[in-house]
Order: sequence, then structure tokens, then C-alpha cells
Amino acid sequence: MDRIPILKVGNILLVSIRVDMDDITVQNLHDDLCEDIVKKRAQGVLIDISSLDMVDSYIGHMLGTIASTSSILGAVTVVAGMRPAVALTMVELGLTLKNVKTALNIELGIVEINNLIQVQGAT
Amino acid sequence: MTELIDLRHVEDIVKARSTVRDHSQKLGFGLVDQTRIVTAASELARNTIEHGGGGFLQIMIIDNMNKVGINLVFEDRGKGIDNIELALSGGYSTGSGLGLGLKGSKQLMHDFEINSKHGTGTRVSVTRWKP
Amino acid sequence: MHKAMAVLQQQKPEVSLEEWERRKEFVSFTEEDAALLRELRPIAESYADEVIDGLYKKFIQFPETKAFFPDEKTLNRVKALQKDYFLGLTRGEYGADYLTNRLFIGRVHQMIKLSPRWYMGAYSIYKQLVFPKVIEASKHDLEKCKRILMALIRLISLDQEIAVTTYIMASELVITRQSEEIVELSTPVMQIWDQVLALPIIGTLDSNRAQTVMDSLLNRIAETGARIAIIDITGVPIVDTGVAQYLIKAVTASRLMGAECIISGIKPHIAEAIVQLGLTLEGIATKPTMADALALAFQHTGLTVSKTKT
Repeated sequence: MDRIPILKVGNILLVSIRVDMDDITVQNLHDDLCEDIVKKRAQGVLIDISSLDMVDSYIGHMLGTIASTSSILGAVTVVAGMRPAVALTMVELGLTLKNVKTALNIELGIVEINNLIQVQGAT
Repeated sequence: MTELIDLRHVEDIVKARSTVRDHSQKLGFGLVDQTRIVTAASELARNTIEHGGGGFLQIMIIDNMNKVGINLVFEDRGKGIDNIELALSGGYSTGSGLGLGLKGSKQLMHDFEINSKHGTGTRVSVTRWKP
Repeated sequence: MHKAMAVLQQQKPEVSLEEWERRKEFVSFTEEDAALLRELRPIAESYADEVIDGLYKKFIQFPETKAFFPDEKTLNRVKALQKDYFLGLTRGEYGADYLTNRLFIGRVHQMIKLSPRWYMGAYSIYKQLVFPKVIEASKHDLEKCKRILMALIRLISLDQEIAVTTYIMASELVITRQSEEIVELSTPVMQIWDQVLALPIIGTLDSNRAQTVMDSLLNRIAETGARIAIIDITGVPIVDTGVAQYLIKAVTASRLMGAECIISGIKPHIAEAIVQLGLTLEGIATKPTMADALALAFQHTGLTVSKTKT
């Protein structure tokens, strides 16, 4: 399976997941993001999951890991566009993604990232 | 009506998901129910491959006079689960995702049955009924 | 009226052909019975009018049934239909077509709200009018007479079963539709401000309703781009573990989508109950009234409300 493309928009890395990912692709995404955060000095990571019709524990866990690792590398992460059916199923599954910031869509996601970067800068 | 899917490599999980999605859609399950079924299938398929050393998934459509549902059976010839109670309690579950597979699937489906013997393998059967 | 009839005709059969054959088996209605009734046809035709007249004479006597025939025209139309039905009993074929016809009649009765009480009574009147005629026509062969009467009894009981089944199922359909309407009406999700939704829940929250409520809430959040949803439970009389769990589930799922929830309307005794149940609404914002919740929502979205100078 191909790797998920990562776009740079200003100081934010934008990832739009449009395929049903297998476990290896998910792992590669994590690795690629970490590399890019450092290489491109990104301050924010926006992961758009509006095309995902399912998020299981593996993908959910990886989103959490990406958020934690990015944080250590100095970037804030926001996951945007979760579908209602997916949100409901995740809660029933027991996946709460407590340490992951979320936004309704890409637009609001970028707003959130900028807010978080400002807050980070102020501390 | 039944369908058999080989579960050997990690890529097979995606195949299992899309096949289960197709069947659920055809049966007329609502969007949220479809998501529940596919997510449970993903969890159990991964368990079969990662912990069971590989096996298969049998999808069965149940269409009686009164009840309509989808039944998924995951079977492997792995080393089996020593402590089913522990596995069902959620393992590491801190909301982060690890160890949620078995417990999560049970919560997402209506009927859940597990048989596992140390050294012989594991068989998990889950069913979701149309409302 | 024609449109309604067309809809009734196209409905999915309440009783399958398989089921119908099972019922025939159960009451022992055989091909022999079918043949006997077929034989009876010419005789039935000769006294059909007499039987129908007798039946409607009874209907007119009772105000409850008289009400269904407001004028001469309606009465004659229905009598003609009734004659068809009556002759249908001796048509000689009692398979798919017969079943379809009987199912349709049951649906019509439910639609015009003629309760089973009356058409059960009508079946009885039929028997009372028809049996003497059958006995008269076959009294020279007592054995055959007995078999004909048995055949009639079996067929009429099958017809009665169909009539009752369709009536009950049609009524249940109406009840289900009404319940769904009630659920929809009682849980509106309203956009009360830019990016703020309000969801006043009124009445008890069972698992079905909770599911519907959560679906609406999450879909509205997606549709409107809301960042805050105020869930008001002033109108929820009982908050037990189940209800609390639904609320927590709704809040968690909304959060995953990027929206925050504020729960308002928690009365003191409910707060006490929640504590006693050993639950905490940890991490969930709560306010006593929707007005307070709205004020908090404004704060979160960076809005201030100020008076204009008059």
C-alpha cells in the first residue's frame, strides 16, 4: 500500500487520510510524520479523518501516539473531521483518545492549531 | 449464505473490513451499526493474525422469519488464550487502544461467544441483529 | 380513497403463503373440503342475496354498525362487495389469490376502523343464516351434510384468523409510527446561536431513545459546525446509571468530533442521586439552567453580551 502523502501548509503539516489503511500504512504514517516535523520544522499537525468510515483500536492508538510523539518534538496535533458513526462506535469500543485534540473540520482544525501554538508560545 | 476469508497477513484485515462492510450494507444495517460491525471485525481479525498466528473468518448471513443478522466467526490454531477473563476485562485499556480488541468487540456486538484452549487455538463468534 | 386502497393493496403480506398452508393444516382444511365447497357454489349463488340482506338487516339494527352506512348508496355498494366476499367462500380455490384477497379485506377494516368485535359477529350471523340452508339442501345425505358443514366451519375460522391478524398488525404499524413521531418531536436539536446547539430532553430516556438522541446530536454537530452543545435535562424525571451513561457517551462522542458539551438542568435531588450512584460527571461542564449554560457557551466562543445605550 502507498504511503499517505503529507502536505506542508505554512508551519502546519496536513495529512488527509482517504484510504482504508492497513496496519503497516498506519505505522509508516507515524514514522513519516515524525521525520517531517523535524525536517520541515513544523509546529502543528492536522490529521483529516473525514474520509474514514471506521477507526479501530489500532488506528486510534496510533493517533494518540502521533499526538504524544509530536508533542515531544514540539508540535501540536489536531485530529479533524471524525464522522458521527465513527465517534459513537469509538466510545462504545472504549476508545476515548483523551490526550488528542479534535476539531470538526479542517478549517476549525487550523484555527485550533493556531490557538494551541499561541498558547504554547506564551508559556 | 456464508463467505470464508483467509486471515494470514496484516493486509488481510483490510479485506475483511471491506467484505464485512459490503455484507452489512446489503443486509440493510444503518450507518452506525455498519461501523460497529466493521470495527469489531477489524479488532478480531487483527487478534487472529497477531496473536493466533493466522486463521480465517467465516461470515454468515442469518435471515429467518423474525430475525435478520450477521454472524462472524474467527478461528485460529494458535497457542490459545490462557486467561480469557483477563483478556475480556480489557488488558491495558486506558482509553488509548491497547488490549481493547476482545472486550471492545463484545461491547459492539449483540452476541459474543469465545472458545479458547491452551495449545489448540481460539474461536470467537459474534453476531449483530437488525433492530 | 382510491389512492389509499392502492397503498393497502401493495402492502407486504402479513401472512406468507407458507404460513397460510400451515394454518390450513392446523384446522385440517383439505383438498376434499375445497371440492365440497366448490360443489356448494350454485346453491350459495341462489341464496346469496337472502343471506346478505339478513346480515345487513342486523347491521342496521345496531347503531354502532349502522354508522358505517350513512346513506343508501354506501349501503348498496358495501352489500355488493359483501356478496362478492360471500361467494368467494365457495370459489373452490383457496391458495395465493384467496389469501391476498382476504388480507386486503383485513387492512380495509383497520383503515375504516371497524373493530373485530363487529365482523366477528358478522361471521357468526353468516353461519346462522347459511347452515340451515346447507342442511336443507343436503338432508338426504347426512354424512355429506356433516362434511360440508365441517368444510365451512374450517374455512370461516381461517378467514377469521386472517381478519384478526391483519387488523392487529395494521394497528401495531400505526402505534410504531406514532411512537417514532413522538420520539422525534420530543428531542429537537436546535441551533440557538452561531456554533451553539441546544438539546432539551423531555421525558424518560430509554436505550432506544438515547440512541436516536445521540444520532441526531452528532449529525447536527456535523451539519452546523457547532462547537458547543447544551444538553438540558430539566425535563428528565429520573437519572439512573443508565441515563448517566448515555449522557457521558454523548459527551465523549461529541468531544471526539471536536465539540464540547455542557449539561444543564441538573436538579439538586438528581445531583444527589448521581453522587449516591457513585458516578462523577468528571470533566463535563454542568450548569443549573440553560441560560447559565448559554452564558458559558458565549464565554467559550469568545463572545460578550452588552447592553446598547438607549
